[in-house]
Amino acid sequence: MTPTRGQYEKGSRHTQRLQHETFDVDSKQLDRTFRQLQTRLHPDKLSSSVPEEQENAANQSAYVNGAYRTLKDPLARAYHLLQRRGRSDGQGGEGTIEDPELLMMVMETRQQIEEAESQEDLMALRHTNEAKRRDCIQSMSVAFGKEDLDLAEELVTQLRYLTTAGDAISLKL
Amino acid sequence: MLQGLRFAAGALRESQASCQLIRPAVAAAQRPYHKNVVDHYENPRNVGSFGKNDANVGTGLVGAPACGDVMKLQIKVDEAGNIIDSCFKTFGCGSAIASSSVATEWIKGKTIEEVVTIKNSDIAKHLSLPPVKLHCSMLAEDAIKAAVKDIQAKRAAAGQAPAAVEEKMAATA
Repeated sequence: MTPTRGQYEKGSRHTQRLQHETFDVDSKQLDRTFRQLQTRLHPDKLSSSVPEEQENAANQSAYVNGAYRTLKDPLARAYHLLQRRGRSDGQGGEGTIEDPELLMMVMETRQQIEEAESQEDLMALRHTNEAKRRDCIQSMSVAFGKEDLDLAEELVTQLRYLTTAGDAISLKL
Repeated sequence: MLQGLRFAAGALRESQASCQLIRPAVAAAQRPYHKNVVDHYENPRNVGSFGKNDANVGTGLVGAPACGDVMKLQIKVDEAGNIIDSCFKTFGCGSAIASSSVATEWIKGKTIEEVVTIKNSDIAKHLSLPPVKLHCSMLAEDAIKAAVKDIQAKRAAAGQAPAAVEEKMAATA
């Protein structure tokens, strides 16, 4: 079905808006905007005694908290972006993967973490894991920049596993 | 800006509903695990590893990107296609560990043709898994299938006919 001119323009504007949504985020700007919004919305700051208005502000304040957490965390941000671009796989999907290379690496890492005994060993593992996470996030930034969503999805899966490994290390430390 | 943040908050709420890495002891305070799950988590059967390169070993390595779980299930198969031993190693939540533990128990003594008919719903029922953990039992079902696929591929590559055919040939010789 050929889109009408109105539909085409609307779709075009939507695409333009999407194009402005990058993976990269200015962390300081994000924090600043968050604080500004909370200053306006926080229920304690509202002088109005109208319960409806206060409830409204409380809801919006909650949304803003959730949104801040999503945008602050690279993994959550990446999932969110993929969803916005129509990748229903935004959560990594319900499915099972069998990528042998990735899964063997994950197994080995998790095994090393499990077997680690000393504080030093765990810190070393954390150091390595953090470096991998940084590289992965950097590659993800490039992938999103090029709109290479297939690659972005692969990297999101990798980041998911790196994050879980990081959590496992933290649990032991 | 607020519109974008609202989308993000929605995405975040959905993601929090999925797999979480909690120990049963903590989970009991929030949502009790079924006693079968606790049993398999605290006394997992068949944790271990067989040599990957052993000609009689099939290895199934699967992952669930949605929660960063990874599951390795191995089978030792005799010439007739009977699973004489099995073991697993799973990194993930209690339900994932319990599912793979149950799987390794159930497949011992069965043939590789029989075990591919084991359904994730059987495992889930045995463990009374809540809907949000059903994918853990699915992972176990997929791990069984992957292990069988591996041993079959190994035997085909070694030029051996499938066991059933071999027996038939021997009987009619």
